[in-house]
Amino acid sequence: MDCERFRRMISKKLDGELSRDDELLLSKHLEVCPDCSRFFALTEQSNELYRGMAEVEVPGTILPAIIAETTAKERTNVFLPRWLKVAVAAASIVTVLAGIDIGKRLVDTYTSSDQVTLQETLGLDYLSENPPGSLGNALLASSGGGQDE
Amino acid sequence: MQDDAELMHLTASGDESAFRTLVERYQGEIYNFFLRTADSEDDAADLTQRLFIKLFRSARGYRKSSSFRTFIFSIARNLLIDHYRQKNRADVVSIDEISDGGGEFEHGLHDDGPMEMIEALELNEAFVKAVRTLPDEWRIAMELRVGRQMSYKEIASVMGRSVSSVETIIFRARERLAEELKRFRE
Ligand SMILES: [Zn+2]
Repeated sequence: MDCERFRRMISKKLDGELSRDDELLLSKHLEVCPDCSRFFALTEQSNELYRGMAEVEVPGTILPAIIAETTAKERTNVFLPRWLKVAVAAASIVTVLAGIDIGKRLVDTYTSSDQVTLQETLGLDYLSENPPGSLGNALLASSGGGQDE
Repeated sequence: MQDDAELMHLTASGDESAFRTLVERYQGEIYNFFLRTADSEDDAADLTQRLFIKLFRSARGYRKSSSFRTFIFSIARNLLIDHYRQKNRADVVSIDEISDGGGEFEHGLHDDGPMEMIEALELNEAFVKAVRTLPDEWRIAMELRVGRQMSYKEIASVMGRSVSSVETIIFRARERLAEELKRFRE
């Protein structure tokens, strides 16, 4: 007897994927094969045990961390008009290259939370990811730094 | 209730509340999936965060094809495979790591006497160990089938395999688990 074939059927039966024809073949086989009947009982039990594993509640820190990460990094690209992005980007370059304070003030005035995206766009992501005073930093701080407590 | 694909399109256009709704809708399933397939609670939390950040960034390129649930679990499975590679761990988790996370059983299922309860808890513990020592792909397939209640077709799509290969993986996993249960009884 090809018992492996029937054991495969048992697995499919538990998953609701067995055809009616195979269903009949299997039940006939189970009447005469104690080994496969035992396998059936064991797999049924293992399914029950698996379903008995509790669904765990999601830690409350996860959602704020995701929101902080996505809003801080992507906001500029989504909301700022193109001309403003160019202006702010230019100001960033001025700040970084020349260290002139006016560039920084321009950036701070328009958007204190957008430096990350601009830095990334400009290939300047070696700069601080969420600088002090940025929205990203504030959100991370409010969510415990995005880390598990 | 808003459709998932619609929420993805709204996310792409900058609607933060749409994205938040998606996270709230799926974080439980995703976190529990990782809890049972990754190595620890910290890894599960970290993978969950990475998944949603990835999802956010893919919103603009998202095209409605198969089900959104299949789509999001495909990302989950890919992250998990990367995670396994980064950890450079063998296919089987060591016994010491097994008790970490994902192994909690619903209490109150066994209202028998103290001896029966101890036996039931031991059985549950042995079973969780058996699940966590399954080869990675087997464990993922079992979790998608029995934990997440996906069909073979959906699992095949998530895992990038054929339906018959999924069927075989699940069958092999069940054989292994049946063997472990038998050993526990003896
Ligand atoms: Zn047989």
